[in-house]
Amino acid sequence: MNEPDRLRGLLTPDQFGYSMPVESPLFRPLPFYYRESRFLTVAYETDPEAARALLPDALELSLPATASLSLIDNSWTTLGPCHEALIGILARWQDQPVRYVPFFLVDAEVPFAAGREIWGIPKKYGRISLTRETDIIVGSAERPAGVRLATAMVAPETPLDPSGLGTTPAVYLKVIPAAGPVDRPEIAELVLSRTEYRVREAWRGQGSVELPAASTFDPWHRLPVRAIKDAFWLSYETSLLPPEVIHRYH
Amino acid sequence: MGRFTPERFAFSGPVYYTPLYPEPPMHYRHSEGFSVVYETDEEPVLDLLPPEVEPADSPPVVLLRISRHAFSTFGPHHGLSTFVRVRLDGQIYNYVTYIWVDSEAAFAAGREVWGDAKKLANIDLRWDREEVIGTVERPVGKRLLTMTMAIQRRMRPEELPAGVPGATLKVIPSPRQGAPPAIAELNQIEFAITPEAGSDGQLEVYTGPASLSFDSPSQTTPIHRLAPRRILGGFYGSFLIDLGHGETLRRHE
Repeated sequence: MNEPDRLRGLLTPDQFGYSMPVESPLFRPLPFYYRESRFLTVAYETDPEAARALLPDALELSLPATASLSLIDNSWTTLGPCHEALIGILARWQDQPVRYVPFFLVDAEVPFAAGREIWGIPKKYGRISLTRETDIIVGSAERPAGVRLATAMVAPETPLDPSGLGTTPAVYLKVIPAAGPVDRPEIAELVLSRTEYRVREAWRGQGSVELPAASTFDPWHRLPVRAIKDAFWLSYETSLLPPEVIHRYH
Repeated sequence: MGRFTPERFAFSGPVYYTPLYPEPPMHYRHSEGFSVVYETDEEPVLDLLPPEVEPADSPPVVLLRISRHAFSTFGPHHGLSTFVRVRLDGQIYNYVTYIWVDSEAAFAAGREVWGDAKKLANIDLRWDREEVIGTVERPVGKRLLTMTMAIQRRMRPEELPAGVPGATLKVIPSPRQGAPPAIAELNQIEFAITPEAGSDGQLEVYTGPASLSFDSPSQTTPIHRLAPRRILGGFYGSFLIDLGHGETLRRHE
């Protein structure tokens, strides 16, 4: 080994890829495309104080307090196939209805990292399934395997006109820690998602939600079920577009 | 209004109650590690280094390590780390290039806190007769590299590579289309790697003839660009690792 005369690196910032590792990025810029997605969601009334405790202070809770449990099978996406499970809280950003998402599980590497680093989606890995048994579609989320955080069921009964379905944009709280021992994160902001949906098939029916595990590590049970309000099953295609930062904490 | 105010944010997302990973330091115990040190070509190394950074050696020296962390605050997992010895502002660092794990929390924390450009991979470290063998696949079934070593003797403490801080390039994208990264910075990582001692009080670190092959090239994970030109040595042992906070050395605006 000899010490060289100076040879500086050639990787200048204008050549950085969109994500790390910057010379062979894990994920590329938006848009991301999802095809053949199936989506089960059950909306339910929950405890307003429990919902407020999870809601950032820049948002307002819509009343009556409503949460929705969704389980999604994305069988083809440009990030690879994945399953997702999440809970959203209906809220308002200024006058705009939004769905704030405090809990989110996924089961694939690239959607996990891209979700956390672009939007700040609070993704963790979990075991998620969405299956049909007899007349009922069943979705479940576990973390770790064997600890059931959520089960949702819907029995499709009535076809819906897809053109009549509105979409409420999701909002995420993006927090990226600083490398150094400082007392605040390097990024702390609210990010509003922008998504194009094309619903291919939609059904409404009776639904149910259970949040059985009182997990300290994934406290989905902190949004308890007071009453079921609605239940859907959808088949759709999505394009995830660049989101918008709507609030910065510092 | 919501009641969740910034002073209640946890260290990482999800920022409620129990985040995915806690604030450093992170601790690893009984960490089995197999390293190969080798010389590689200069041009591919320069392509990986930002302009503030230069190789410390000519030809550049790489330390490639596969670890099986039996216990860590991220849970048990495997890791592959590829360090290039570099110089920055007159100080020697191990610059982190290819770094892969098979644990969700280690993956996210590495990327988000320090800027370790981690990917997930299928990593194995095992014994086959008298040889220790480390392999990496990504995706499963595509063997990227194989390293082997036949143990011949214990290493003397003075033979171990000198501990130097790590350096990483942390890049977090902006949500805004076409905007520069929200974070682009060079970070220093502080970690202490201590060989464990056996019941006779000597270090449990062994050396012998080592080999390293990059079994198939990949355009999405092009570690084969750091192909070995001359193997300088290999060592295998059991270590305690403490991984602390980092420090931001440079910011790219």
